[in-house]
Amino acid sequence: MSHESHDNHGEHHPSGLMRWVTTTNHKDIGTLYLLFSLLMFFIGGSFAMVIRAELFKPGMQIVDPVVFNQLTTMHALIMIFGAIMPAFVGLANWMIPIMIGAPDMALPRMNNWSFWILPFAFTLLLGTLLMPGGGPAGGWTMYPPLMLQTGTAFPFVIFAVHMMGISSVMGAINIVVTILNLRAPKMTLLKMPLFVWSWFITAYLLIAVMPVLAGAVTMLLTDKYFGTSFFNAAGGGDPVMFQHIFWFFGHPEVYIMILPAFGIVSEILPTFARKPLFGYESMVYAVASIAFLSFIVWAHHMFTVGMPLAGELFFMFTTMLIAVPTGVKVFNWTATLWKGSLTFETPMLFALAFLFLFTIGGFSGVMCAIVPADFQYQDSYFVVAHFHYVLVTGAAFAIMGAVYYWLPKWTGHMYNETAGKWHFWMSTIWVNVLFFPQHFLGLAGMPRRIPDYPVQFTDLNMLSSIGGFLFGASQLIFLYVVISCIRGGAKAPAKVWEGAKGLEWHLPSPPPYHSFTTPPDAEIWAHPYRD
Amino acid sequence: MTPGRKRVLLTAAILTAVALAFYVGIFLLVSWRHP
Repeated sequence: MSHESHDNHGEHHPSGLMRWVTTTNHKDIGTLYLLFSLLMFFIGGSFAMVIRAELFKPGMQIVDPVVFNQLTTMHALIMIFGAIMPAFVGLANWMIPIMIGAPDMALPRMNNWSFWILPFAFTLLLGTLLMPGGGPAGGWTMYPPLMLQTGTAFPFVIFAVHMMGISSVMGAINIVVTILNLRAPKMTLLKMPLFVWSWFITAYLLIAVMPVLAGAVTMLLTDKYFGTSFFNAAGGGDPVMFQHIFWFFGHPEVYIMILPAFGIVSEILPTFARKPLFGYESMVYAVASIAFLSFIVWAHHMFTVGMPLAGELFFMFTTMLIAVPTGVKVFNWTATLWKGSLTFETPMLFALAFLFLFTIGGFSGVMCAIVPADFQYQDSYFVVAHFHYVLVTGAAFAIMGAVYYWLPKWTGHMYNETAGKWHFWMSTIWVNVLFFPQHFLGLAGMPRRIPDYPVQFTDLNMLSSIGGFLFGASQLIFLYVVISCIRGGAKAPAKVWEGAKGLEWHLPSPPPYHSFTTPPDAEIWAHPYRD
Repeated sequence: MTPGRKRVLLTAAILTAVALAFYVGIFLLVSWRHP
């Protein structure tokens, strides 16, 4: 580490606003992504608060149905493309170069461009709410013909989605190129940290499926404005074809939002169990298997459209197959904890909550995979409960765990552990009050995406809304912890956590602006996953 | 251009080509199903 700190002579980079606009530094760009995703998390979250307030009791209270549909659509688009994905890309930008001993990302100027597209894309997307006819209201899946009823906002939404896609693909290309070309000498692929492995595989998924989404929404655009009939039955097209194309993108997209979370949990658990990760190579193969399977399960999102029986059986069985590599991972994480010297700092608490609560989302996923059962679950609140367990207590909890884990490394300050634990317990209690009752609402027949409901669903909706408000309020503690840690706090050592291994802990906290300008010595990055 | 830089750009070019192939491919696939 000592040779790093004196490599910064003659540093000339702009200060103030221009530093952030023109930066090509992976740490700056990582910070931009993370702050952007935090902002989007609160904007998307505020939409969720209005949704839960409207659903607090039957009848129409706060917003009219058109606005309600815009809010559900925007909540999903903002949370998926604005909060979860940029947060993972931010973590990748910050951590991948310093985990593999690289001086920066391989394509730093493109990195700058990848980020700066996003604020424009989301300003455009959010701006559609103010247009005549309002924003998109057809759900994040954008199914035609419903989506084609969008007013003036339609082409702007399509353009915004293209911009998000271009940003994601450029980010993914950068990550693959960095990992393939800039690893420290002797760091072979099977010696990389699991966070790097999980992102390596995720990046391939992004490169393959984001262009498919772009193609699908381009076809929507030409159907509406240029007289094509890709999805217009009257012109010989097929609206169900859109669903197939969308979910060919959409299912890998789900894994794009969870595989980096797997990588994060695989970093945190060994650190706080003070043991090497159990089954490193099987973890890599499990992630690769899940990624492969994600391409051949898409139609489980549309079992009720009227597919041939052979198709339903194929997609049911391939979907159930995903439980095998996922089970390998859950088993390995549990085995990592076995007989470990466990301590329960905030990152560990989030990783453990992930282990339990993501698994609940996984189980309800297997339930949805069963074709005859799915005919009841389809489009009900059961599905809403399922994917929120996967995306909130899975992806979002892993991101929060990662922020607590690496925040002292990024800022050079220890965060407030008491406030962190308060954030964890408040979030974990209220997120279950928020989403667990939705399973029962769905099984009892409450459809998703409705602003009003019959009175028999009132009690569980009230409970869910109370959980939602308090979960939302709990995130203000997170905001407080992050801001106060950036502003100051006890000095963080280079190796923040006693059990931490890996290259990033050999750099000072915070790391110098340029790190690993010469590749690190082989002996300082002893493979962190083996004794 | 250093050999390392050439390898970086080659990798990036191949991945860009793959992404573009998926974009164009989905149009071809849909057109094939619905001539």
